[in-house]
Amino acid sequence: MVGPRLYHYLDVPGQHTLEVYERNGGYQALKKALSMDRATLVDQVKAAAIRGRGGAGFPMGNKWGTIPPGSTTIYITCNADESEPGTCSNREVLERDPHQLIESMIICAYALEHVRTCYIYIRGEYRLGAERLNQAIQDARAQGYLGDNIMGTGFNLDIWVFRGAGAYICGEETALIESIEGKRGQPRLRPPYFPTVMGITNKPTVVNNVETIINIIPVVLYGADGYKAYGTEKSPGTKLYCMSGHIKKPGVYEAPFTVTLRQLIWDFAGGMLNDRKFKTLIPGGASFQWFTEEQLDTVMGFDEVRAAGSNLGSTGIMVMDETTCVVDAALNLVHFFAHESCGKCTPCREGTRWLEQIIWRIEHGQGRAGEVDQLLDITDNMDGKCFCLLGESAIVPVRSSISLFREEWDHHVTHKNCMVQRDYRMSSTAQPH
Amino acid sequence: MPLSEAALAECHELIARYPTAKCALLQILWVAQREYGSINQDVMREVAELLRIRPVEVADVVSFYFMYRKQPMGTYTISVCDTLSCALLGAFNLIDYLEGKLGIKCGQTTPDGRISLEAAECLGACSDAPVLTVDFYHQLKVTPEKIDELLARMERGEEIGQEMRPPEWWETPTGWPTTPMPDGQNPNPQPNQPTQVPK
Ligand SMILES: Cc1cc2nc3c(=O)[nH]c(=O)nc-3n(C[C@H](O)[C@H](O)[C@H](O)COP(=O)(O)O)c2cc1C
Ligand code: FES
Repeated sequence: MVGPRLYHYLDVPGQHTLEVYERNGGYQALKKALSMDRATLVDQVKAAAIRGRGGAGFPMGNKWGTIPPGSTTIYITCNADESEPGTCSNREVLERDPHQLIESMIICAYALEHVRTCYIYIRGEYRLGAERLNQAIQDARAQGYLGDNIMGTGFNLDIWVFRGAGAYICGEETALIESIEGKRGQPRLRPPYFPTVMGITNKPTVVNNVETIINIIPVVLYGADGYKAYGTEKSPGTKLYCMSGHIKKPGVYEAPFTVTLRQLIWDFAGGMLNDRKFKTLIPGGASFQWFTEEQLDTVMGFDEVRAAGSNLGSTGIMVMDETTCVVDAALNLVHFFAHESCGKCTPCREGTRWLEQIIWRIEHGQGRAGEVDQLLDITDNMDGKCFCLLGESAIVPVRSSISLFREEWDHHVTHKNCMVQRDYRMSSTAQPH
Repeated sequence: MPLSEAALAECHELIARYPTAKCALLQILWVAQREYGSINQDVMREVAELLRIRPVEVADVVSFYFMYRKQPMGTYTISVCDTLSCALLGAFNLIDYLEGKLGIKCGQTTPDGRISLEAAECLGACSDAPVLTVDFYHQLKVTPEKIDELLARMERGEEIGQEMRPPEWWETPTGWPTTPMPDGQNPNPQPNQPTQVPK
């Protein structure tokens, strides 16, 4: 028997309470894991090849393998700083099924053995999520799933919620560690600061996304083979696809990695809003290349999307219809990156500002001849020169929209207006400075 | 005015969770902000003393994270998401509407100190766009009518909690495996051919 999956119980009333969670099979995986031998458990996780859902797609088991052997203090940190525009799957888990995350973290900690403390880095904006997590931790502790001598096995573990305070960059794993250390969330240089080697207070720290971690429950319950029954060879399991934008039924849908974009939009999300014509979409969250109609049959697995020229990222799928002005959309995203740039490196700090200023002028009918090429030139000067991926991401909406819809940009510059009949403006009228 | 006994006890409990005292800084600042409403120089100095770190280390952090408020905020804080998914569905109309209704701009507080308004980056509820939060409790699929209702509730001084999405908003179509599959059944079904993209 294969299933139930990650989102199966999400809408059950009271699922966030320990009582209902246990009634729906909660903490069974933990009981099974604690009766397993650690080496077998680790082997199962490695064999299941759970791909990281936070953006990079790096398999969880392989990440565990990079911890230096003989480490006596290891931290596990759950990355719940979900701030990539378009991504909203973690929030649902944190608010509606927090025990699922806690149970999974206990299993991970048990498997890695030298873990005494885990942290959940939750973004400050998720207030209810933090409250429910804290309550869940308290209940799990009272029930003996957390604390000292967990279920009589002699294994001790604490999980604490760490509330961030509103910074996208703290989702980057080294910045997240800086933030936990009580500093500004600015990324660290790798090498030497690979989290699994030198993380929190220079101890090995495993950072994983919420969704990655909760995949350990099906692996424990059904074994690596049962887990791999869904999805593709390289991307096994199911994914929580966050569908937003101009579609009839936006939502977070769980589907195997074999699903295509067309199926997601027309089968799951009910098609385009007001039956308008599809224009473009972003398959993985704001940081990744845009797709057009030609790529709609792309299978939404990590390698397939990469082969199609973008990245699965955190599967924040933002769908735009024919009423979308791509200049305005790019401005909206570049504004986001300019606002969230941590200021550590110059290409990102200055580059994102310049991009925003120029696109704002183009959008507001003040574009000058040659400025579209100037934008591309700035992106070239940022590409590969930023300290972390935030700066590298900021150039993507600009490059993507210019390469796909160059004529719209040129129209903005020459005619000082937009060729698209739109419903809403998507950026501030105030000039950025 | 120093932190209350209870708040101090909470701080010490927080410090014990981390390998060093400084690691607890962000969490202590949350406690301090809850107690004082905002974080000024005196608060920073107090937190620094508590953690035995330099005040500048606290100031460094406070200035980086926007959710630590440097000025007192209104009784309610409304944050409207203006990132792409919400903007596609009219977030800027909502901002205009709110600015008009409250007579203030984003980043300001009403003169009676009741409501602060701000534009926020993606609030992580893109599938229920457009979104705003009231004191960081999410309100989903916001419309001007919904804003009127929220403002009326604020007028009455009601507490405003999180709006939870009803299950029917995101029903999974039949044929897709989110339920247990009996042995031998193909967990990767090919559902009906989806409708073609209208030309
Ligand atoms: C600018 C930036 C922002 C990121 N934000 C997040 C985030 O919000 N949530 C997340 O899980 N990973 C985020 N990541 C990816 C993390 O650095 C890291 O790869 C991830 O947490 C690893 O977990 P995984 O192996 O489970 O994917 C971000 C990366 C960058 C460069
Ligand atoms: S874009 Fe508004 S919540 Fe994500």
